[in-house]
Amino acid sequence: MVAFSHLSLASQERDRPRFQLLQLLRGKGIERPRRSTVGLHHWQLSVAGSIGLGTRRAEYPFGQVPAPDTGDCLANGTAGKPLLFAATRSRISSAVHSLFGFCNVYVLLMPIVLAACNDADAPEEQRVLEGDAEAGRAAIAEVECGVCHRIPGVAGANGIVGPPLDSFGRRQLIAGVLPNRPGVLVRWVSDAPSLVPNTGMPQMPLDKKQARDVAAYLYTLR
Amino acid sequence: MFTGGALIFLLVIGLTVLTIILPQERRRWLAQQNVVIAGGIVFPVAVLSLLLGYGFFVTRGHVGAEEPTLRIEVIGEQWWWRVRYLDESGGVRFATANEIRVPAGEPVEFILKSADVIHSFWVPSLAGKLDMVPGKVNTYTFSADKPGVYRGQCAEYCGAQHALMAFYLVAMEPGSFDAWAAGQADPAWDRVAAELKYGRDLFIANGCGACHTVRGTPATGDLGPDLTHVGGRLSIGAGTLPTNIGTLAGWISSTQHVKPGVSMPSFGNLESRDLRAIAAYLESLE
Ligand code: HEC
Ligand code: HEC
Ligand SMILES: [Cu+2]
Repeated sequence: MVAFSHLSLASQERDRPRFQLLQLLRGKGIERPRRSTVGLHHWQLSVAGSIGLGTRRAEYPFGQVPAPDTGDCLANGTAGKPLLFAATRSRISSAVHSLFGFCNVYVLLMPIVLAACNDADAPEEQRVLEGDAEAGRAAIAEVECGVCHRIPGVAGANGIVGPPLDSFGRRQLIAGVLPNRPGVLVRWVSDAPSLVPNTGMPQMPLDKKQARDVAAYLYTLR
Repeated sequence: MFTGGALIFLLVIGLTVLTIILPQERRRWLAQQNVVIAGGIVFPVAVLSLLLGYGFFVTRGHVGAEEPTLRIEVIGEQWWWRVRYLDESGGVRFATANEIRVPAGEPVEFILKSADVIHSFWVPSLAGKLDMVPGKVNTYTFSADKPGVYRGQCAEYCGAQHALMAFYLVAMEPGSFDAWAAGQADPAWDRVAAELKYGRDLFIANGCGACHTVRGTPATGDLGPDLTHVGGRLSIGAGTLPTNIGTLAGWISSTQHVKPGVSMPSFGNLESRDLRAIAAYLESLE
C-alpha cells in the first residue's frame, strides 16, 4: 500500500474543494443537518404515498441523499446540501410529512418539500452522524481497511477480500443483512462480528469517534 | 572539498567553452600530447588518490573502530528481511523479521547477507546503503543517537516486489530494549489465552507451520518470517501494512493480491470465522 502514496495525493487533490467548503460552512456556524428523510428513494416515496405512510420516516444519513439524475428526490451537490438544509432545519409539523404522496408526482418540487422532511427529534443513535468525513478517510487509511475493500478516495485501497465500497452511500443493506443506518454502520465498522457472527470482517481497532468519522466518510461514497 | 570541486568544474567548463569559441590556430595547443597526458591522466589520478585517502580517514569510524555492543544478522530474502540477534559466541539468540530494534546511542554491528539475489540494506536517516550479496558477508557498524522509528528500504532492485521490501528500525531507550529482547527470546506458547487457542490450532492445521515458526508450537517452518511475536511488530509484509487484526486477516486471505509473487499462497479457502480466528491469534502474539 505504501507504494501507492502518489495516488493519495491525486485523490486528495480531487476531493479538496468539497471538504474545504464543508469546513467553511462549519466555520460559519452552519452545521450539517442532523437527520433527514430525504434519502428515501423514489419508489419508497411512491409506496409511502400510496399507502398513506406519509409520516413514516427512514433514518438516512446526510450523505445519503440520492442524486437527481437517478430519478431520486433531491439534488445531491454534496457541497450545496449543508446550505440548503441549514436554512430549513426548523421543526416541521407532521402535516408536512403527508406531502410524501405529493413527492411522488411533483418530483421537481422536491427541494422545497423535502426540506420539510428533516427531523431533529429522532432517537440519538439514529441521527445523522456527527462524524467528520475527512478524519474518517484518514482513519480508514491508517487502519488499512483497504487491504480487504476497494474504497474510492483512499490511496491503495484495492482489496478483494470484502465487497468494494463504491457507492456505499446508496447500499440498502449492510453485509446483505442489516439496514444501512448510521447507528448500525458505526457499530459495524468497529465490531462487525457482534452484528453478524459469521462475517469475515474482524473487529477493527477504531474508537467511537473514529467509527463515526469512518461511517461519515462511507456515506459520502455515492 | 566543495571549493576544490567547484574549481575543477569551472576549469573543465572554461576549457570546453574555449575550444568552442577560439579559432582553430589558437586552440591547437590543447591537443598537444603533453597537455592530454597531464590533464587526462596525471591530474585525475592525483586528485582521486588524495580523495580516496581522505575517504578512508573520514569513514574510519564506521569500520570497526567502535566496538559494537550488539550484533544483528540481517538476511535479505525476496522480499523480506530475516533478522537474527546474535549472542557473544555468535550463536542465534532469537529470530524475528522485518523489524530491527536497537538500543539508542549504542553502536550496533549489522552483518548483512542475502539468501537469493542482491539486496541493499538502507536506513536513510542513519547510515549509507550497504549491499547484501549472495555468498558474501558485508558488515558495518552504526548507532541511532535518538530513540525513534526509522524506516529502512531495500535499495537494490531485487524483483517484482522490491518496492514493498521495507522495514522499520526502532531505536529504544537501552533499558526498555533489554526488556524487549528478553520478551523476544521467549516462546509464544503459554501466553496464549484460551479463546485464542482455536486460532492457534487452525494455524497448525492449515499448514502455516510449514513455512513459519512460532516458537513453542509445532510450527517450525523456515521459509517465511518468524511469527513468534508478529503481533508486536509495527508492520507485516515487510513494511507493507500496519499490524492489526484486519490487515493480518486481509493479508492471509489475499496474499497474492497484496504482494503478488511472494512465496506465500493466498489462503482464500479459509472460512470467515477461521480467518478471523487465525488473525486474532497472530495479533495476540506480542
Ligand atoms: C479482513 C478483511 C476486512 C477488513 C480488514 C475490513 N473488512 Fe469490511 N468487510 C469484509 C468482508 C468479508 C465483508 C462482507 C461481510 C459480510 O457480508 O458479512 C465486509 C463488509 C463491510 C461493509 C459492508 C459492505 C456491504 O456492502 O455490505 C462495510 C461498510 C465495511 N466492510 C467497512 C469496512 C471498514 C470501514 C473497514 C476498516 C475499518 C473494514 N471494512 C475492514 C472484510 C474486511
Ligand atoms: C509456502 C510458504 C508459506 C506458507 C504455507 C505460509 N506462509 Fe506466510 N509467509 C510466507 C512468506 C515467504 C512470507 C513473507 C512475504 C513477504 O513479505 O515478502 C510470509 C509472510 C507472512 C506474514 C507476514 C509476516 C511479516 O512479518 O511480514 C504473515 C502474518 C503470514 N505469512 C501468515 C501466514 C499464515 C497465517 C499462514 C497459514 C494460513 C501462512 N502464512 C502460510 C510463506 C508462507
Ligand atoms: Cu530490493
